[in-house]
Amino acid sequence: MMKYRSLIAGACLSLIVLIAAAFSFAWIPYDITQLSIPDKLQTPNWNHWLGTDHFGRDILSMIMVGARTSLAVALLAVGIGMGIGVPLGLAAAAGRGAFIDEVIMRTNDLIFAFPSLVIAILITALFGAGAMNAIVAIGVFNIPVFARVSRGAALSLWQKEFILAARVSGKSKLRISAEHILPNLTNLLIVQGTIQFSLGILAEAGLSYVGLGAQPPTPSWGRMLADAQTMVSFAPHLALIPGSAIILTVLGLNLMGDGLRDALDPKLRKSRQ
Amino acid sequence: MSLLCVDRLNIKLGSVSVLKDVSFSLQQGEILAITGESGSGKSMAALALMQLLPDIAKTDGHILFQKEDVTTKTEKELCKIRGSDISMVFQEPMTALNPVKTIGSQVSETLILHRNETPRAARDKAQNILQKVGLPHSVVPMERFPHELSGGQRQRVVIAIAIALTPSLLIADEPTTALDVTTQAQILALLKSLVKETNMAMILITHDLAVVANMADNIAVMQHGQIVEMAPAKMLFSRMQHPYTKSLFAASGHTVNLPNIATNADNLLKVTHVSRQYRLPRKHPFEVARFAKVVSDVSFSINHGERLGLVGESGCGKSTLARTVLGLDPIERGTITLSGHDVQNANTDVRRNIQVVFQDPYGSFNPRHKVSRLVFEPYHLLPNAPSGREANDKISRVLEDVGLSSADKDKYIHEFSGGQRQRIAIARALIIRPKLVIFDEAVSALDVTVRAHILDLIAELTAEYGLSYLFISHDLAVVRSVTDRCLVMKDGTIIETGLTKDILDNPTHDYTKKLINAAPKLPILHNGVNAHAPS
Amino acid sequence: MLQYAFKRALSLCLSLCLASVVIFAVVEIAPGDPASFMLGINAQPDTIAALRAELGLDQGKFVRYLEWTGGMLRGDFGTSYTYRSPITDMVVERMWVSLPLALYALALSTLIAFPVGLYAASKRGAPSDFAVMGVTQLGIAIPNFWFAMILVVIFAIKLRWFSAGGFAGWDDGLFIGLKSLTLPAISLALPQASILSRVMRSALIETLSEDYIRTARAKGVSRTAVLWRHALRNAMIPVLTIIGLQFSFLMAGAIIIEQVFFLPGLGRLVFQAITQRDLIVVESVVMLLVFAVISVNFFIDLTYAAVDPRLRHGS
Repeated sequence: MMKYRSLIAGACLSLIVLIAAAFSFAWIPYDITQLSIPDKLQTPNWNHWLGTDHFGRDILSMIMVGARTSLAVALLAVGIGMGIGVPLGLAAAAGRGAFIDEVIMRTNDLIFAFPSLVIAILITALFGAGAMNAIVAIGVFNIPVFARVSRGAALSLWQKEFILAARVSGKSKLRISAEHILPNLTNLLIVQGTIQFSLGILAEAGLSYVGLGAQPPTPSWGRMLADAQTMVSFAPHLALIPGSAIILTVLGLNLMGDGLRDALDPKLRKSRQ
Repeated sequence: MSLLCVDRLNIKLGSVSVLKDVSFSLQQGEILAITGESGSGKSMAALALMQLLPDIAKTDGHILFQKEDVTTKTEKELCKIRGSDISMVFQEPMTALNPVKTIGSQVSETLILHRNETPRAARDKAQNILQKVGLPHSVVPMERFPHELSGGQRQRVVIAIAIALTPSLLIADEPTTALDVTTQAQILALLKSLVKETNMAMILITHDLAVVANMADNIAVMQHGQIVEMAPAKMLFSRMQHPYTKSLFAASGHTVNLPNIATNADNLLKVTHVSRQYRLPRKHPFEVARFAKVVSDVSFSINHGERLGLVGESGCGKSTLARTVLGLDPIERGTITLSGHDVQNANTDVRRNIQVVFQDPYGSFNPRHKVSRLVFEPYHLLPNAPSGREANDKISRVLEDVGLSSADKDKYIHEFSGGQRQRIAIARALIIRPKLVIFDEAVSALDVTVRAHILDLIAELTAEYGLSYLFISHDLAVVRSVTDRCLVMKDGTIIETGLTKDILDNPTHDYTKKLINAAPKLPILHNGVNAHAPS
Repeated sequence: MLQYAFKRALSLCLSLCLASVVIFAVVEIAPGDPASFMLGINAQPDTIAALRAELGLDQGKFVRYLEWTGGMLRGDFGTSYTYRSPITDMVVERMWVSLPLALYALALSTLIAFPVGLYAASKRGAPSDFAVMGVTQLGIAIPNFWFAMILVVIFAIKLRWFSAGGFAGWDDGLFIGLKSLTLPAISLALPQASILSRVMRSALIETLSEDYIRTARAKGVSRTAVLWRHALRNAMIPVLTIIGLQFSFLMAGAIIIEQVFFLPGLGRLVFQAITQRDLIVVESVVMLLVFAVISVNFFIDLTYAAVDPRLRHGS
């Protein structure tokens, strides 16, 4: 059990966030569209477990709804990255050294050369701020990550003798990629997916902080922090609570990623012993 | 008083006991060979002497070196002994040297470390030591990096590091296993001469009994972490006592009874003037493309029912040739036909007649598939693959043919040992009853006893399946026992061809002679254990 | 070595060309015409057309691309639509804030990560390793702009050691300038240092399981010495890769951190330009950032060759 402690701790943290987000569809303590100026800037108390913001809105409710935004944006961005990146990586590995490999890998290098957040800012700024463009902007940068990771692992699998045996059995490269390569990449992709998920949460927070993420009235953790900035010296809980939400989510996902890698990758597990 | 005295040494890794009551002693100038199959604990014994065991290891017993117990020494004291009084040479020369340091600096490090030499003085001494192991400055300057050296040269550097301070004990752990036979002969000769010259003691750890026979004064045979038999070399060969020793020697010299199959003069496989080349990386962008010929102008044929061997050292192009025959690699020139059909761009009708068994029993199977699916894969080549009960019967049948049970088909590959996996690989190759099977170093990764079993199996199946095969190996003894005819390959070309017996007994080409002479030989035993198959 | 450097330089140029095409294309297809934006919604079509002609927007896309890139090669980034002043001057001025900030943060991150990574690797498996790795795990999870806010509250508002924002400039000396960049640099560096020390630790530990480490140990090299003499240099390759990537992150992170500290850097310039649809400024700044990232990675590539002889010989 000790072996899996980081996996368990990470999974618990992530699960809490996930449950909070899912639960918010059914019920939240207070309606966050209703402003209630008299209740503003309360510190955590019995009525408002996490206090209220400068408009008197319940912070717990906003955190719960904000979790939806964060998770959705990051998850869809990972989806874009995996959905496009993995097939590209597999194709590049299958056509090793050929034209298609060159084109895919050069394009990857090019995307890597752009400071990711800068381009995310560029895209959301030029095409309008909003959750959808944030997803695309973060997703675009997940593509080369997944392409590179899956190509690297696929290349070493292509050298394996069981792939040669499949080729001797007359199977096409496409079929081998689907039947032999991809299933052997799942562990790696789960781990990488978790890491990209947590990076996506951070990126989304950054974008909403500078006002380029989900637009109001949709609450988001990054925007809550931006709103808190001018008040942080006299109402620190405004910054501490959303900040902790981000940190715990990212921490949970990272711990889970590390734990999964140790649990799923027999090679790494062996070298740890 | 002996130089080294190991007294009832027990080592546990966690709850696994890897060495049990191991005792032996060693005199100055003596060569002790420790032999046994993989997992017998022989490498652990070597690491224990160096006190370089993994952290989780628990040691019990005594290792007296020059009358002092190394198991009770502090790490600091041990660092003084290592490299100076006890040194070690490792198996894998390709990875044993630090890739970012010159070979000269790696040799002189030992001198600087133990003798407080100035870097300049150490450098000069390192030069002499490298010369002594056969790497004079004119051939291999000491400013070279490891990647610029061949495997044999790297092993010489590792030896130079080990003998730099003329230790009284040298431990060589499978020092030649990763090397070709000709290089192996040179390295063994070097080690032997060093022992003679400096009167140091050497522990030679190897799985290869032929090497043991030619090198050792005393031999210890290990099994499951225990020394089952230990005796002076000559005595052991004439009067071996323990059944395991006997079976080990029997398996090493094992010959199979190759059944006679009616061959006909039709060419099953015909390879004519085949060349395969790789493009070399350009040195500068505008350079004319250069190519390395891996296979050049190779022609041979295999008739129905014929068993052809292909012998050569690593890098000679034999595996590339196998891949071109399988249609996995393109060829630049020549033709390869199977029953008259071109195998390059062949349709499934042609391809179904050729299958393959690879070397690595661990990399040959998709770990996520069950044995039934693994074995059934070649049916992809047939238009009407059986399904349901019929498929099940076919799988059970072929598994039983290779000596496994039909119940094994629902297991995953990690549940099998190396030898069993090689049986599954053979089952996969045979299930669609191909006319030709290629064995690419198919028994090279196996221990001697398992190897003997697999060779017997191949011989047995030859009759049953009416097999023709191409058997690729670097091991002359194996090729001798399972082929009728053989080819000798060097630098991409076939240099000699003929009946296996003729070639191995009366080679005509110089290289073939060199190869045969370099291969270490088992002594002829008097008690006749060689003649029988292992139990 | 020369051949390797030449190859990398060639790929550097190629990447820059491609990057310029991509940036130009993205800005081109973005909705919103700069001229009509500048004149407001009530502008007459002919006034818009006149402004478009004045800004050179009526020319073909290809011509404008060539003019833009040609100008950059001469060090002329063109003229801002909004301010009608040379972009080069604006950019150079802002660059003197953003680049030092990113480099300062990179230096801090590396200086923290090396000893931490080495320490954790040397104590691998021990409680102290576990503790250090726990802290870095937390460090990775902290958003840098949030950390910046906390730093401001503690060190600027409560302790008054630093100013809460703004940039003092370089005119009063290096120390004054660096001091006003210290809080921003720390907030940028800490998460990166956490990542880098983890990479450093795992690269070292991986290297320590190599065969040549065992060879060195058999020579009599002690546990600690083997880390310094044999493992460190071999572990540098993955560490260098991450340092290169971090520069990219730090340039981007600087843009957000500049918002927290009200620093007059490139980030502020870009945000202003975006809201004013001053697209040529956006293009140029992004191009400049990409240039910075690509050239840093070029130097990283050259350092690889210095570390690893196998690359030098182009094997």
